[in-house]
Amino acid sequence: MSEQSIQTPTAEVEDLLVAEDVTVTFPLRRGRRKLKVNALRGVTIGLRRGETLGLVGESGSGKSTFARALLHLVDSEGRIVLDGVETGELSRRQFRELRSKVQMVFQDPYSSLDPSMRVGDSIAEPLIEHTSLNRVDREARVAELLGKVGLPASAADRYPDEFSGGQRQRIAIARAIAVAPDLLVCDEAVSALDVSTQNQILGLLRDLREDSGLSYVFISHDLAVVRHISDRVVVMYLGQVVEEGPTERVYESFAHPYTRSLLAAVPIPDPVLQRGRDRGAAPGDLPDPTDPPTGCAFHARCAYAMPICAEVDPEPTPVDGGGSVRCHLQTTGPELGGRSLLGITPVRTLQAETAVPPVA
Amino acid sequence: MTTRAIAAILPPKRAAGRRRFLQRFVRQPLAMTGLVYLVLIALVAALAPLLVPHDPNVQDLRGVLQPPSAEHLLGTDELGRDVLSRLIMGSRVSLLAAVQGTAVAIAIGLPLGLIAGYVRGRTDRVVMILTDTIMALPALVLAMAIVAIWGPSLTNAMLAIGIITAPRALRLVRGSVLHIREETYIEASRSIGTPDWKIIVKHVLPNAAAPLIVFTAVLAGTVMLMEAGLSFIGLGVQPPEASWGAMLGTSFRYLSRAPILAIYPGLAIAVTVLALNLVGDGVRDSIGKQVQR
Amino acid sequence: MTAGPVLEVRDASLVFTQDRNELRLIDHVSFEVAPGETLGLVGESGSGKSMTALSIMGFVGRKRSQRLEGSIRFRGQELVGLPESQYRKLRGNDIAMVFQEPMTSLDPSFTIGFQIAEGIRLHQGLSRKDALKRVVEVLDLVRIPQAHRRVNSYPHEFSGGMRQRVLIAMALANDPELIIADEPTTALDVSIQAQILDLLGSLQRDLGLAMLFITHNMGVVADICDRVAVMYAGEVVEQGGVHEVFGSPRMPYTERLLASMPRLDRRGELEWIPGAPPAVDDRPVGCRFQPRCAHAVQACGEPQALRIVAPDRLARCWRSEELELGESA
Repeated sequence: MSEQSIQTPTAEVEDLLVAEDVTVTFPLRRGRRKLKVNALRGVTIGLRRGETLGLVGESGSGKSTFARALLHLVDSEGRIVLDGVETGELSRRQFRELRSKVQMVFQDPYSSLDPSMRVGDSIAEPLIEHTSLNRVDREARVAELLGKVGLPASAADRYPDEFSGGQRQRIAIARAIAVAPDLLVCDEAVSALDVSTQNQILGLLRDLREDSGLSYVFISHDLAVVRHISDRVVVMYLGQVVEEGPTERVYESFAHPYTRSLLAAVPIPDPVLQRGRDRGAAPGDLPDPTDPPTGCAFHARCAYAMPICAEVDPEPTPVDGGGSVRCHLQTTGPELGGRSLLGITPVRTLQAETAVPPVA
Repeated sequence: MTTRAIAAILPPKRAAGRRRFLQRFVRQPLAMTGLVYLVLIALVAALAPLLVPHDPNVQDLRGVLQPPSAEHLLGTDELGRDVLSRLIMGSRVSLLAAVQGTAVAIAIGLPLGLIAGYVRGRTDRVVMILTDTIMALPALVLAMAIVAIWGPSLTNAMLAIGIITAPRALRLVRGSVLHIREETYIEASRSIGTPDWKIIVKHVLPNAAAPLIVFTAVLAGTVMLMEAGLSFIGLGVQPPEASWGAMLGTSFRYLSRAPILAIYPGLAIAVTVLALNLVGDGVRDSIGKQVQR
Repeated sequence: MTAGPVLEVRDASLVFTQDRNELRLIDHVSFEVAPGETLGLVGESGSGKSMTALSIMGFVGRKRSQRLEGSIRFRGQELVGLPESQYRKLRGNDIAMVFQEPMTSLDPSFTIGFQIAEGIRLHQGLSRKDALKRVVEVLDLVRIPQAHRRVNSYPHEFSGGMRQRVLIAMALANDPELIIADEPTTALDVSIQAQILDLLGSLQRDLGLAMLFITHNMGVVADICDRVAVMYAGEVVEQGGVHEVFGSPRMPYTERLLASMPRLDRRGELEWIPGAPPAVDDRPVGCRFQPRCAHAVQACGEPQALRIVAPDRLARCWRSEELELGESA
């Protein structure tokens, strides 16, 4: 699952999703001032059919906003092409039919199901909106879906509060796949669950993918989980993509200082290993999205910052091994030209060790 | 904080839903008392024509303001009519009026509250301005003004009261909706493609219903009091029809000679309103714990 | 500093009476925290770890429907049954607590300077000026830049990570001997979490604090804890030094828990433990992990005691010695 799956020939690749230069801003009132939150700033992301794309980042990175832009739950500028159809410009009503192609699983299992509705009715809702099945057929389909997610058909007559968190997420997944979408967006779908339950749900998602060729955008703040299940990874910071590429390439030969600090900050459940690492977390706080820094968004916290970083926002450049990175180190200063960050000594702190120990 | 932490560990109570609600409700003595009383008084109102010992409108000018006797169990009023019969017939009017007024209030307040709370924006602002305006004016005075314009009759009075109390229902519903619309399941419905109107009916309304049901019971009590007030000053029920409020009103003129005439209708109103409040409390307590998870 | 453990919990049980049933939210829990050391209390949700912390602080177990049994000694003083007035002298003073939600733990209506000073003046009786001095001192300690100016800031002017530092400062203000941290980094971003763990580690070294650190994140435990106690279904099922417990777990649950943790330095299949922990009112008579344990045999149906299986190693499994669990260190 984690090895590179099908190597598709470059020219014939069918992109399931192409998002180009997507921008989302929200108005925000703070006291008397009217501010603008730049939640997404020119995000470009692509997803191939059958792929699992991991989307990582911390607060304010814009990853959840991107999910909502994909599903037209917020208005966005820029181009979004879903299965060949330009959706960015569509109104909400026009997008309605396309909703059966992309569905979402939300983070909180305790509030993503209507507590006043029976589970079966919740799962049937997309069937009512997008198919013309009659009641009997719908019930049959609901039973089938419950079976697919590992729940008994009798669950359909019960209410959500009779189920555990993990079971509720299964119900949410059943609802999301009811109309056989091409793309499933999981927004921190397992973050609220215990480890064991989480892994079971991830296993379910993997089985569903093998079963029906689903593609996933998997949003998470948990880098360990993302490494285990993603084919490609996109790292976001303050509404921008700072690095993206094949999972192993990003984790082993990261090219962006933020990626490096993020990986360094994740604790490994192994005392010997963990205490031997440098915990090179970036100092300072995540910036205020209503007031992004000039130049590169990360420069104030970057251990490798150069003068140009405070003035000019870097453009994405390709990285050896796949993907791209947005960093002046590639074009100025050490002029990495596609090579990883490993092997350069940071300016601000004296660490030469790698941030992530090699794969066991 | 600790109660929530404990609730998270304790096993969830079984049998969710309607049955649990009823189980809980019947265990509350006060609520049950209120309910029993309301059922009885509703029966009395329904069967009033069969229950009255005398014709409530028949006057006997030689036997005015009589104390209780075998013939007239509660005595007679200022025109010699049987108080008990008028009280029984009056229950019809008072209860019907309460139902009418409450229905009007809910019919106005519920849809507007749902829409304003869900759609927000300018619609919400306009609705709230209207609501606040109505609430700013003293209720009874406004009722009087409306009835004076339309003409005094019970129907007009109930319409007026309905309009005047609608803001309360509206605000209550709107408050619930404001909270509900932030829930993830609403967002999930939008992502599924359910149109807004369907979301409101299918998801928002059922979840907003519980506080509204409680409120309705209490509202009925308020409406009843307002009807009594209007009838008291002659703008509601028109003579010779009896309502408890009207009876209360006319009895005041004879307070020195037969004070007891004020007590019967007054007590009837008070006890009924109390019963409505007790039932409302009971409903709230029976639902409340379920929602608390 | 007195010799002997700072905190000694012996057979502590939190008994909750519901509908005439007695539910033991924590069941005969025992552990110690020595001066200057960090003990990690780990478990999944429902294991009872938070209840343990709340019991130690006296926030639960003080009503007839919620009884605390057993013994909890702080510096030798018995806390179970301690009158509230005495408890108040300890809380925020000798025993301080840091909670999970920095966003809501501070009162938005008062400056942080005021809130921290409140505790200082209450327990140390200092004048307003002296208390303020201490506030600035302690804000410096938690590395809040420009502390002397930020005393007049309100909570909403701080980010989540900063607020957690403020809460830690509040905890340190009266020189506590023991800090109980209940999932202090769970709600924080990972890079902020790393900063806070860094801070807590160095504070603990510099000030010689004892810390009870409650979490479900094994990576955090591996980072910051000296010893660890693993809880399952209300009981402590394993205890020992962190290197020993991670390197060679002696209880199948611990081993399975460690094996199922997704690790940043690994990829491949994720494992899980089949089934789910028993509900509070539905626990098996013998070993509570038995229904899910791959090594279960007949004898596991007997109640299991927490016993010494090696120096400073406790495990609640009668098969500890014979099973070869986990990867070698």
